[in-house]
Amino acid sequence: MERKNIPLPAVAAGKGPFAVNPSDGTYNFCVYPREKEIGLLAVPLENTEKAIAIRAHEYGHLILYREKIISLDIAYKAEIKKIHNSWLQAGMDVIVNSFLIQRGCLEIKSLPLSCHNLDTRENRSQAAQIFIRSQFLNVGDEIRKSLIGMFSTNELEFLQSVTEELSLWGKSGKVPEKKLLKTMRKMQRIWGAPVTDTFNHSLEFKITSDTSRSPTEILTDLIPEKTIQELTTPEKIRELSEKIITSKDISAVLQKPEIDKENNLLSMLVDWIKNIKRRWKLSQQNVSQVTWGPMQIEKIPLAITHASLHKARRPKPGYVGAFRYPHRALLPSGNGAAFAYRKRAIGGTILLDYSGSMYLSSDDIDGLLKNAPMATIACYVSNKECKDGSLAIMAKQGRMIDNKCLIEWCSRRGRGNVIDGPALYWLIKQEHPRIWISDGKVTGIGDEFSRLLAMESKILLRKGDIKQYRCIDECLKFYSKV
Amino acid sequence: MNEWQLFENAAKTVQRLYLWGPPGIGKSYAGQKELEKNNRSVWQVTLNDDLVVQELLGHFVPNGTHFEWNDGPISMALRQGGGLVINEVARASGAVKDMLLSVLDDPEVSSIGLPTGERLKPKDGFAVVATANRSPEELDEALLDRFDVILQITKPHPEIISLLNTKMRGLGAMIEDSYSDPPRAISPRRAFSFLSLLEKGFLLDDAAYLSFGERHRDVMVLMKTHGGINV
Repeated sequence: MERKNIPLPAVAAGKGPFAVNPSDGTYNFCVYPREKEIGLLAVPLENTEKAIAIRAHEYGHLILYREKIISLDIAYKAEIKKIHNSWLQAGMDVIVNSFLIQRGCLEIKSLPLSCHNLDTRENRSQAAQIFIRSQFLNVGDEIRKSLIGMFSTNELEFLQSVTEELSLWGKSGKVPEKKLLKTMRKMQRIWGAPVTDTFNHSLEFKITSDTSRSPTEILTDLIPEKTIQELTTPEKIRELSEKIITSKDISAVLQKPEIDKENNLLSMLVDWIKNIKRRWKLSQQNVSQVTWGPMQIEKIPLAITHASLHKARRPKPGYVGAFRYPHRALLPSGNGAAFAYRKRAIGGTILLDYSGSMYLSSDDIDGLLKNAPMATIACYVSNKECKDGSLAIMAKQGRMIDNKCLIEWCSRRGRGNVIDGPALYWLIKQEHPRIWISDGKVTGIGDEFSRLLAMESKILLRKGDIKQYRCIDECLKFYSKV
Repeated sequence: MNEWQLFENAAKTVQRLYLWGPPGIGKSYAGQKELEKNNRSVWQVTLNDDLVVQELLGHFVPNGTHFEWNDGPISMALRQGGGLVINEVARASGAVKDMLLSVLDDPEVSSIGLPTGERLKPKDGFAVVATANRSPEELDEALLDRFDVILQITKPHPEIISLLNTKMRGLGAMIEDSYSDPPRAISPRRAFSFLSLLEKGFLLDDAAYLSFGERHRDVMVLMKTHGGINV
């Protein structure tokens, strides 16, 4: 199994929680958590010198906000003064790097920075930004040598003096914001704003720490508008929804390297789907947007102890455990197995889609528990109005619902799906093996079908390691093989 | 008032508390400490699916030509009016949970029949602190209902934090901060292991790698910024 690095943004920020997404090192960012919004961190998760330097740099940004060395609304202040974000970021990057070096984080020197793809003649502002950013870095001397011809002697002197000033602020941990903004504005006046936008991939390495926008806005920006438009054409959606989406598909669509980090991929996909839905809604106002209904988890008393529980938990004589069978030790004919131990019983989680033609009786639960005594069996279905739905646990740890309660529960429910998505999210958090008994036809509010919802449920099945069976008998066959 | 202060205040007045939260934050330690303040003796048991009732209540053991009854930790605590810390309640088997229903019942009605024929009633002073990592929703409703106080703990115990800070500047604060992002929190046990390895002469990097695993580089970077490592 691949060992993953787990970043610690909350330690740097002093608060959390954070959503962490792995990046390939090209576009890294952090967003400081606010009162009602979680923080964000996108960094590479490897343990290479380059990846560690990028993470350290992002931690540095968070520490500066935490210690109030730089205020959270600096990006907003810069915007008012019409300072391009790239200039502000360049200045803050130098401050962060010198702040970290002052505290002994020499790892920061390995930050990657390159200008070999940059047409610096056309975009002198980017060249100037790279020049100041290269301060302290291992690649700094080389970069400066290659850029030196781009600037006049006066310009070079000015760039050098600005870099030293920024470094001093970082080292002292005191940043006069007005002065910082003034300096950056002056630089922008000399070299102008970058011709290409901040998402231009000609730079090998970019760092931004954007506090002016909400995390959702930034996540949305990760997927280019053009891709969303292409993706949300009816043909594309049909194509996507008819196959199981893998990380390769996602990578192909997003034109990003394949990400095989399972945990983060799932959360990234969820965010991605949310973004697509949002964009879809905005761009196709005439198309009604179907979403999952809210799910309520009902607590029904599990009054009956199933007979298989006793069988499953019956202690067996052995040589370890509680001293339960003394006669086996004392009687000459005993085998000495005076202690008791128990074998682990088969369990798992079975989620039953109770909509439409599906039917569940107490005999079905009985049959399932005979094969898997410790299984958790849950049912979900919509209410009668098909606006929301509920999930009820019918059996857990050898106890099951009585027939009267089951009939009563079934009678007051509707027959739509509506909450397939929330129910699958619930299933993902339960014990293995995870089984979904359903015809696979998922619907949202109003029991309406949506290809996007179908796509989401397919992703959930794959990423949550969920086995789907069409009926209870198929599921019983699976358990009989276990 | 923070959650730990709430717990300390509650432990002074109520007999049955349920603490739940992430591992390593000092739930059992705090439970033991609070019970020791009020009780003469404290017993601690850690439950699991394979632990049987006999190990907790007691059983007969052969002694020469006859059998002798041997009290388990729960019987001893009930008999002596001591404190009982029950770790990982949620992991207990159904039989043990059923037995706990009697143990945790109101003192006026609580009574357990032993195979010796004796009926055991809790003596004055008997108190229980149960701990678990999982949400109490997973517990049987009847069992959960028997606890006077159910409290979620999300941060490490302040004494653990200050102890870590004393041993290495900023280390405790770092561990505490990490709990504001629960999925990525660093268990205090990792930090104690790190300090222990350093005391035993391990090099800084080696000790960090052995204790924090793949995230040791991140921890080292952040320790420098927290002033924990002098450079």
